[in-house]
Amino acid sequence: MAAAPKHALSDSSRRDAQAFGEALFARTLDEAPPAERMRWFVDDLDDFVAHLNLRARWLFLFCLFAVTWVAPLLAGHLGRLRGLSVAGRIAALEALEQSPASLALFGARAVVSLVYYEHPDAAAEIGWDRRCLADVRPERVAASRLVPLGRSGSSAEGART
Amino acid sequence: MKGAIVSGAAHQGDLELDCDVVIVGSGAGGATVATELALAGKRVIVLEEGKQIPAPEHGAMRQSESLRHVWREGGMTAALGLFGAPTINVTMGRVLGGSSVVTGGVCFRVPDSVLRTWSRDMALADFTPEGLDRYYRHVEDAIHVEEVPASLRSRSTELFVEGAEKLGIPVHPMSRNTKDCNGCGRCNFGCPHGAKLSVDLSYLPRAVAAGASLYTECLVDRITMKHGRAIGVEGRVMTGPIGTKKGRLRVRAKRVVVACGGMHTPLLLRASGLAHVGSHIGRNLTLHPGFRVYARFEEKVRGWQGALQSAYSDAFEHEGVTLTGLFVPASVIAATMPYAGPRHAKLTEQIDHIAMFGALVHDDGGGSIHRNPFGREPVAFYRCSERDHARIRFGIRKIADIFLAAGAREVFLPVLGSEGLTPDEFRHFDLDRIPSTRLEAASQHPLGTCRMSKHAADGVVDPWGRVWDTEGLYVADGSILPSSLGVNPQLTIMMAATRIAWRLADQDLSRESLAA
Repeated sequence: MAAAPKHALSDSSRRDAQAFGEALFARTLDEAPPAERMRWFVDDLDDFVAHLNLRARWLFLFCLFAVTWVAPLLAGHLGRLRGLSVAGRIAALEALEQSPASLALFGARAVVSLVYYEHPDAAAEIGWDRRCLADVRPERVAASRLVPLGRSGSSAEGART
Repeated sequence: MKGAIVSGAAHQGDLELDCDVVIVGSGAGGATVATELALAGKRVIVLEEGKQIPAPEHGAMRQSESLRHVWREGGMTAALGLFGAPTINVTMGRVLGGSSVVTGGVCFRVPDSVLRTWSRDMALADFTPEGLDRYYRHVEDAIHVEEVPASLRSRSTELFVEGAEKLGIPVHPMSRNTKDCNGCGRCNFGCPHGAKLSVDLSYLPRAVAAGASLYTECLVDRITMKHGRAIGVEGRVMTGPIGTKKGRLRVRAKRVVVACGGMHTPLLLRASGLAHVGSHIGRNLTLHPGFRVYARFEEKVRGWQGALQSAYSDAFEHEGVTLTGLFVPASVIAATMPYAGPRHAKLTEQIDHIAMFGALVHDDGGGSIHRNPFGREPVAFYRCSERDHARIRFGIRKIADIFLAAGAREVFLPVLGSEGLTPDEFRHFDLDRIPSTRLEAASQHPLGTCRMSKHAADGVVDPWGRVWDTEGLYVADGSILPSSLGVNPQLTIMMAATRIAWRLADQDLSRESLAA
């Protein structure tokens, strides 16, 4: 696979995404998920965004912008989401969810959830065994699986009726 | 003579090629035409914008890796809802094999009721079950269409079937293009076993064996026209993760077949100057908007264990709704759960208790595709008819009823930010008061944007796929279907492409010379 450019997200956007993820995935009101997991999450999210075309990238950044700036406003705070405590961020996100801008939260949450729950520990927390990935057997994909082609059910390849 | 698969990214400099037929797009339509024409002895070139990602490599990817490497725009393309319609996530592949690589492999023939509309109301006389049967049979043999055995059903689907039986609603086994599926449940994100026979595994190897050349990472910008005749295509060779221009692409051909799908084919025709005033190019978009309903059960369901799509119900076809089995990765379910922090976490801990089914709406539509002034991906707008709005709600209610009959403790409707509803809460929930703009909707079936018609004034292509008033130019993908089908269109797209290809194969191109 071709290497993606490093850091499609700016340092500031990486911190915004981390603050969002820490609140969304927190299991208690005062504690974010483990730091190692959040580092993996932000790096992988960065790689995901690096593979998006410009429009999809801007769409994600727009959604992240709404989460970062609009959510705190709706909870009565001026400033970025990351300026709030984990509990404050959670309240802000839930306020955004009930607002007309909820589609932006949905867009951002879809992308970050896809990435975050692929961390083995995060997957385990929701009971996702990811069995399908443990069972990859590439050697089974073989040319012998192909079915001959012929017109109108003829078995001879390329035969015409 | 054996053809080849050539990576555009690995090619140095500009690319200039000659052939009998150039096909733009390697998905269900393009691959079918390419194979049939190569087998008929034509010199065929296929141009694909995406990369070749071998099935074992794709099957080993995490879901989000599949999205970033195989899906167009990371799966984030949307048709913007107008006049109260929901905004719909439209997913497509951007890879050799096109969207066939990212579908669940579901295969339906067009319902007879839809064919009757086409043959009677739209005057497409050949489009009858009997008239299309030999094309369908040919494709079904080629991609190994088989019924999913009950033994491969997930517990999620079993629970739906139990509920449907209690309510007297018939459910049937789904047919898919698979061979030796073991029900690992990740068809859309790359089959780890090569069991899903998408066209990269079924048709394209045959095309190459018969002499066709497939060029990946080649983006076509326009069709070259001369005196009202298509004489080739022009574009660019690309490289890098997001497709940066690397060189110029020019192909001269005696026939041009466009098969870029319902979202991109109209853009290419417009970019080639074919959209006159009043043209139907890019209009009449239908999407088959799909809506999922989750249901939480007391037992562990682990709905990802089993075939992704193994059963359906056409009991409500007359209402314009097909109920269809599906499951999505647990990470996607988590993304649609409401709240944040501990309340969100508590819901996500229940994901292995979640069952799921979907409703696919046979829409009247009326959406449109437009050029994006800031990039190469289209802008799509979508509108619902009053009947579509009613069908959406009917389908959602029906699935919830069925799951509750099966003993679900809660149902989660596809309403942004909504929480689970107990049976009593659901009975009192007024879905009609929820605006459609707050519904989560998805589509894999953009259709109709270059529709087929008996008369030039009513569509874009004639009943054999030739663009009206244009020589040498054909369309062979979902964009030519005259209306939405109400069922998954992959098999029908391949049927229509076969029909077009056989007609083209009968043309003697050896006497024609390439235009300068």
